Amino acid sequence: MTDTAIELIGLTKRFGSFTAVDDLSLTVERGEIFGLLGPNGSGKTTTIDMISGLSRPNSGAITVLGIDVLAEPRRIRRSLGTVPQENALYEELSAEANLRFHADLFDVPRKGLDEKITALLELAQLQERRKSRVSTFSGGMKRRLALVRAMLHEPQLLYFDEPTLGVDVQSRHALWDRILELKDGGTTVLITSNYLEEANALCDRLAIIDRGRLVALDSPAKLRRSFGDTVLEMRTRPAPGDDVVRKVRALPGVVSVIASDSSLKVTVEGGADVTGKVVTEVIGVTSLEEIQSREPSLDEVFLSLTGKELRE
Amino acid sequence: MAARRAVLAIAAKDILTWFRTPSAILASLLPPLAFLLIIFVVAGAVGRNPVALVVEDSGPQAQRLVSILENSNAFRIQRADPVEATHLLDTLQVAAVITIPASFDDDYQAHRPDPVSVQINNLNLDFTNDLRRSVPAAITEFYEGQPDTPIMVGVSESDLRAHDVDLVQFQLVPILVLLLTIMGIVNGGLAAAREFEDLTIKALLLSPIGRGTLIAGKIIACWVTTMLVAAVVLVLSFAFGVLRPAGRYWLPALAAIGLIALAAAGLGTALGGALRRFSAVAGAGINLSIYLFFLSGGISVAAFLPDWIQAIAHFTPTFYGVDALEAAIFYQSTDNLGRDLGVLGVTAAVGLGLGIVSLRRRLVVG
Repeated sequence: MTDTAIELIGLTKRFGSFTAVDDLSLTVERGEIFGLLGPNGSGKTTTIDMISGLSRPNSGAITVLGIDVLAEPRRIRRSLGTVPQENALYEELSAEANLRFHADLFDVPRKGLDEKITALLELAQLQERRKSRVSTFSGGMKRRLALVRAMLHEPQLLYFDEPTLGVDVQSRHALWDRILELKDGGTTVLITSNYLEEANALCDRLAIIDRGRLVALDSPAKLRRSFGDTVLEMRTRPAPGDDVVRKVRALPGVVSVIASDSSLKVTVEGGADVTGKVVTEVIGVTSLEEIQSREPSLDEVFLSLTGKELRE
Repeated sequence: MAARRAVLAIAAKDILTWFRTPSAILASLLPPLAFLLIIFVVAGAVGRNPVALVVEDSGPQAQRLVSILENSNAFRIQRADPVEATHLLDTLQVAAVITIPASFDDDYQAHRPDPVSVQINNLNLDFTNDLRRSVPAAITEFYEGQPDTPIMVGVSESDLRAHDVDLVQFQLVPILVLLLTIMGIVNGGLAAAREFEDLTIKALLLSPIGRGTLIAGKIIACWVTTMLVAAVVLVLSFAFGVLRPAGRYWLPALAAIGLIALAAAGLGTALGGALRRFSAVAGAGINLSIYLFFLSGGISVAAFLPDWIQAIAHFTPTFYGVDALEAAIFYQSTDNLGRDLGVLGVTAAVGLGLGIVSLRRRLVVG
């Protein structure tokens, strides 16, 4: 058995003259949680459709769990569990009927199915509502049901589109715990998310794609470090003028400078030496009222790489 | 085995969903029920006209004519005195007043001209012509039975069919066909459209089942639902004695019903795949079914329609469905049965083909 869960080589998908995915190559290892991030229209969904065998690329190769997806798309779907963003649950059916329907589609053995459904409903904290119609469920309950439904046929690869979209904070952390447990059990998890906090909390590695191209691929920590090691947020009086921005930006080790109203955000690389020089430069020109130092966030990495906010 | 399990699961899911969706049930059942109501009202209004009968002679001949009029299929007789009768006519409670004068028996014995007078409320031509035909028919029957009549009249009736069919009974067949088409087209369409509208299509596409399995499950669900409703209608109709195919004629009747339901299920699935919206499918499906209903002689006899409509009707599959069911249920006849079932079979195949092509096109992503 290969150690690679997903291998994309030179994947390209065009819709007429528009190139949705452009020569995308990446590898996802078995047992890791892999995040695919990108602004709307960046090619995430098209990539996932191709990985699931729903869509064929114009060129390139896709291997999932050692299976050539282009040659055997249905075979790969048997090993793939999916939690789409829209849940795709049957609202007129009960929670239990939704799971049984899924079991029939995936030909899950009938022996032991009742116990399995009970266990999954307990996991989703829906055991008491197993006979209730899904139309009566809250958004969080539906999300939890969609999650356990994807686990019913014990897939080797789970794909979550926005795993905790519309889920309350308490349920969100319970779902994160469950996803991490799945990883511990050897399941490979592929996530697309607009919540960088979620990607940061869950993913072993992140790929950032923009306009169909891979722009970064690394662990969340390394991605953050690649952007600089410290972000200084300073409040000044009077507001920082162009001269301050120009002087700070000229300092060695400064990665970026953003001035707005009465604050100045400076990202630096090089530790305390650089930080000290920045502060000295600022107080030489204006009065510093407040200063905070922290690690760069993934949002800032994302913005610097794509020029866009993730949720814009 | 896996494919069969998936087909049955999809079919069971769609059937259960239909039973739990009041809007889908109403969309399928309301139009046929509305037409049924119209037929009852129309049959009540035009079938047997209310007539006031004024009898001023108590002689035996006058009483014989009264008996003939009262037993006539053309009237609903209400006895009245002259004042009451005039009031009933003036207030539109009766269509006509027939008066048998006090001299009726004497005039009859003396061979004087027929003295019965008829006062008609000529509201519209259809109404008036019914009465103009019916009253002389009753008088003819009166004279026909007289041994000593100087008027030698007689009607030799030769019927094409073995027995008469009540108007409501006759109209129930096209309404049954309307029910089948609307159930098939609207429910097949809604079941397909709902998957797209509720975005559940993605769950189906991401499962390991083939496209054929998915389409088969949906068409079977629609066909079974339609047949279940048809079975309820047939059982009720049988119990009330309105639709009763005799003996072996059950078989062609059921074959016609099954084929109409199958064709409609295929067309509905095609419509659902093409439109992918619940409201659009319901609107288009109901309209299409009602056009098919009228073109197959829904509220009349197709053969008596204007030539150009008849020409269109002959290209309307439900026309053949109505014909096959009328032959099997009313007339115990196999005339044109092969033609009718053949056309329905071809229509079912075309409907299924369209359903498969339409849905398959929609199931391909990029």
